[in-house]
Parts: sequence; structure tokens; C-alpha cells
Amino acid sequence: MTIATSAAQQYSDEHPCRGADLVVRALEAQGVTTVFGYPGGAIMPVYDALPSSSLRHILCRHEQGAAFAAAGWSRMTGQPGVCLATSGPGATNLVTGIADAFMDSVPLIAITGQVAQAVMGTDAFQEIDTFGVTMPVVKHSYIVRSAEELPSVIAEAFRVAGEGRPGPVLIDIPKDIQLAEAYAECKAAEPYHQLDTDRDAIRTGEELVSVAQKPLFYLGGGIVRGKAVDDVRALVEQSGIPAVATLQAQGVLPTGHPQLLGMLGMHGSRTANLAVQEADLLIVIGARFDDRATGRLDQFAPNARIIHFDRDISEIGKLRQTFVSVPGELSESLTVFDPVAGDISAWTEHCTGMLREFVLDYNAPGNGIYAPALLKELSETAGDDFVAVADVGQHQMWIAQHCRFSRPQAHLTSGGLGSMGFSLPTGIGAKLAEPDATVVSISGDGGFMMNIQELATIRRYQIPLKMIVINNSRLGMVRQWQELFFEENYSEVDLSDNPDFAEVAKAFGVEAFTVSERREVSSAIMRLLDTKGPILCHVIISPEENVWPLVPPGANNADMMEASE
Amino acid sequence: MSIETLNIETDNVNGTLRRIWTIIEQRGWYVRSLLVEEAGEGMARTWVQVSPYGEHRQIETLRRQIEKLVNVRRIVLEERSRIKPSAFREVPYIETAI
Repeated sequence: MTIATSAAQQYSDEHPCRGADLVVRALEAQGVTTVFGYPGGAIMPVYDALPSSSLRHILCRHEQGAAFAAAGWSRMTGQPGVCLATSGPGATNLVTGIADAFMDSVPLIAITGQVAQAVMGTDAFQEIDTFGVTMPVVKHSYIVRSAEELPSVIAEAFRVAGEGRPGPVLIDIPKDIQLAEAYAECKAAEPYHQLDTDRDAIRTGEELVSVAQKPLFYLGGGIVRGKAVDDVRALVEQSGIPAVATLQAQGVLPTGHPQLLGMLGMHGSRTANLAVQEADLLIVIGARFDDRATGRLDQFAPNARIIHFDRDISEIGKLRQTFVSVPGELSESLTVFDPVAGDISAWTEHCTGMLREFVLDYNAPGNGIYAPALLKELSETAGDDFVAVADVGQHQMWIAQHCRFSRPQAHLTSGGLGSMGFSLPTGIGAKLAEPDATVVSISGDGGFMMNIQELATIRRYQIPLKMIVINNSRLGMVRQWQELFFEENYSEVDLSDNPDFAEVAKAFGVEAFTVSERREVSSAIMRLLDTKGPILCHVIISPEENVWPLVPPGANNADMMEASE
Repeated sequence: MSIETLNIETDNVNGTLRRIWTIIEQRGWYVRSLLVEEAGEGMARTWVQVSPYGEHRQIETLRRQIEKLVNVRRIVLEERSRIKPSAFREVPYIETAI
């Protein structure tokens, strides 16, 4: 049990308190209940203040784990998660998690200790320019220069992180500021600035829809971040126009929705990619024309005019010229947008026909476990509470292709940065944010090793996270590319000397078991879902398995490779 | 080679210039010339002359990317795009090649 010092306990509204105490009080004032972190020298005053606060601190076993866990909390709740670390290596270890949040527009507050101002710039012990190191991967950042401004900085940071297009905000606090005494009032959350709705642009967009013969919605992750999922569902259904979705927008329309043609892009469905290439109007909502979605950009949707709705105006026209630009709050804009399509029955029938024609095939040869079939069965068995937390690699694409998602929070994935090591700590944050959800962390053997230490966090707090490690003893996606595009010159992808992951989990005190044959899958899924505490299922699969379809690099999305090619 | 000059009004606070410089280079542009001055009332004014790496980058996209930074109050494209900002006082509003 940690006991706060007398310094941490003495504050009240009438007395000055230390900057460190202001930090925890300001976090409380923002409604924060849980923080993720790892202590160290330059953040010690904040850790001294923590035990006398209402905040629950989750001690992760690496700062990267803390950043991913905090962002996992954010991805589930839509509210900024909070992570803490010390200066120097503590801060640099946060960077991948911060960058991941930046790329996927996830609100996050990262608080780092810094050496005292008197020695800043002198290469002091554990001094690093955290402000500079993180600058390209934050939405905003602060070095706090006086204790009095801590509450206002923290309140503003929460507003900035969540407002508009969300993102991570860094607050770097020198140790002398944490120790300095100050009078300051902690402020409640600041209101978000709302953009106006461009009604003229929306009317023009409606006119385009009315004359289009092959209109198509292109749904992106901005819908989730903009909390516009219900608006999009209503709009799509009211319009009758088919839709495709990016990796980050899986679940915006639930899997199996009759108007959803699937995921577009490099590992997208044939139906979705062909529909995009044929469309004469793309209604883009909260998407950024990412290269993994578009394939060869100059051949993407070659016949389509573009209507682009986005909260971030700098994304409009960045990569593809638009016919109608609609900057603004997505929810407001989509409420006003009332498109009436002409006779598009031939188009919708064509799309439906493709959906019927290009069905997924789960008939794999042999007795080994076919990961796509396992993932499909897992998601269907778990039901609407299922949350898949993917790592990065082949299994990530199999999850997106084959799992059933009832909502976008059912699919947490590192889309922009593609961070191996994402799944396990993100799953911790997600499960703590939504304890009733069936959160399943699904990793490959490569990614699982990158944050395997978080098994200790799971054990310590008895977080009932389900874990699956799909082990092909390879860096599978790299191996696949070496097979297809580097003449089978397999270079440094053999992980056949992996440890036995079930035994490793047991050594951490986590229940675990291994399966390797297809007949074991159903019972393994039931054991995984029925176990009350944390449990890991180690799944052995063939190293030769590939992800299909695949749009080769530099090709357009109609040129998909299939397994037989 | 495209040469553009941005006129940026910002809060005069820690890190703002560094943040603008970072965005410019991160987004595929390089800085040809830079002039910064205090503008009173907690404000700073920056003129930065930039060129892109490659021909496919649009200055309007960069302008918007800078505009959304927290401490940026206003950003406009300078008409005197090919004049070095340091010469603005001497060569007002005349378009010439460098």
C-alpha cells in the first residue's frame, strides 16, 4: 500500500497546494477516473499526490503499454484517456502510443515529468526534449512554466484533445513546477467549438445525388470520432444508396447490413473495390483517401465526382479533388443532408449481385486451423458485446474481413500507424472502460511479443480480458510480401523459436491453453468466452497461410490478387 | 518550382514557431526564407517562404494544416510570394522573380 506524504494531504481550497496536487485535482475536475502510467524520478511528485486522489492508477509494465491502454480507453469511450510517464526514456517510450493516437485521431492526454527548469537544456539525467520529440505526433503540447497555470492548461488540453478532429495532447511538467506551491482553481471541462454547417454546399451535394446513376457512400473513421454513427446509419438507410467502409469504419454499418458492400482497399472485398471503381458519385464521410484504401490514387474511382464531408477542412482536397466540399460537424451536416437518389435500382441490383457472387470461402484443406473461420465463429458466438482488439499483420486483416461487428467500438485496430504490440495494452484499456463488453485481444506471434509484459498488468488487476495469439511462427504479412513481391526471398521472418505462449502466460499467472486442430476450435471458443477471469488461447496455424484478396502495391483496386493466382 | 509565402499571425507562446516549422517540413515543403517579429498584444507575426518537394503538393492544403494549429490566429497567402520576406519593407507588393 502506498501512503501519500504529508505534503500531498495538506491541500484545501484555502491553502496553496503543490503543482502535483493541482494535476490530480485538475484531472478529477475533467471527470477522469482512471489513469495509466509508470512512475520515475521526474514525475514522482505527481505519483506522491495520486494516492490521496480519487483517481485509479493502472500500473502498466512499460510506458508504451500505458499509452496504448489509455488510448484503448479513449477508443471505447470517446473521452480522452490519460497516461503518465517520467522524463527521458519514460517519455520516449510513450511516443509510439502517442503517434498511434495521432494517426487514428484518438483523443489522449499524455502527462510527462521533466527535469527541473534550472537544468533544462543542460543534458541533465533523464532529460530529453519531450516537447520537441513528440511535436510531429501531437495535436498540441505544453511545457508548463508555472504551477498556477496547471489547471487551465489541463482543462484546455482536454478541450483540444476532444474538439473537432480529436488527437493526443502532451503536457510536459518540470519537476520544480510539480513541487511549487500555488493557489489555483480547477476548472470543469471547457465546451467544444462547433463549426458552422455549410447549407449551400449541402444543397449542391443533394443535386449531385439526384442526377447520379451509381452513387456510393465511402465511410471513414471520422464518423466514429465525430460521434455521427447514428446519423450515418439513418442517412444510408433513408437514401437507399450502397456503402463501402474503411478499416476504421468497420461497424459504422453493422456487418451484414444489406447496403454494406464491405471494406475497400488493399485487403478489401472484391464487391467493395469494384463498386468504387464503377461509381459515378462518391459521398465521402470522414475519410482521408488513405493509400491503403485507395490503391493507386490516380486510378481510384476514376468515374466518380466527389462530395466530401469532413470536420477537418485540411483533409478536403488533400489527395483527391472534390466537386462539393462540406466542412463542418459531421453530425450537424448529415442531419441537414437529405439526398433523394434518382432511379438507381439497376446499380443497387448490380451491387447486390456482386455481394451474392463474391462470397467468402471458408473451405480450407487439411485438419489445421483456418484462422478466418475461427475468427468468424468467435465473433458470431460472442454476439453483440464482442469487441475485437487487433494487433497488426495478417490476423488484423482477417479480423476486418471475417468478424462480425455490431458497432465501430467492436473493432479496435491500429489503422494509420500500424503498430505491432497494439492489441494487448489496448485491450486492457478497452476492458477497463467497458467491463461488460466481451473484449478479445487478438495478436499474431510477432506483435504479442512486443508488449507481452502487459500480461503482468492483467494478472495484477485480474482484468478479465480474453486473449488469442494466432501463431504461424512467422512475421506473416512480411513473409507474404516476400513470397509475392520479393521472389520468395524470405529474410528475417522466421519466428519458429518462439516460446510456448501458453506456458509463458501461465508463468505470469494467467490461465492459458493451446489448440492446433480444427476440431478443437468450437470448444476453445466456448472455454475462452465462458471463463470469468483472464485467459489466453494459443492458436497454432500454418505458416503458409496468406491474406486474400490483395491489391498489389502500385495497382488500382480493381486489380485484386486471389489465392489461386 | 512553386514559391509561396504565408503570412501567419500567432499567439506569441512557447513552441509556436517550432510547431509551424515542423508542419511545413513534415508535409513535404521546405523553408526558403523566414521572418518573425513580435506584433504586440501577445501576438507574433511570421512570414515564411516555402517550396514543395515535388510538384503535386498544394499550398492551400498546407495553409489549412497550419491554420488548424492551436496557437495560429490567422494565415493568408501573401501576394508577394516570390519576394523574400526580409525585403518586404523595401519591395512592397511587387511581383518579381528571385
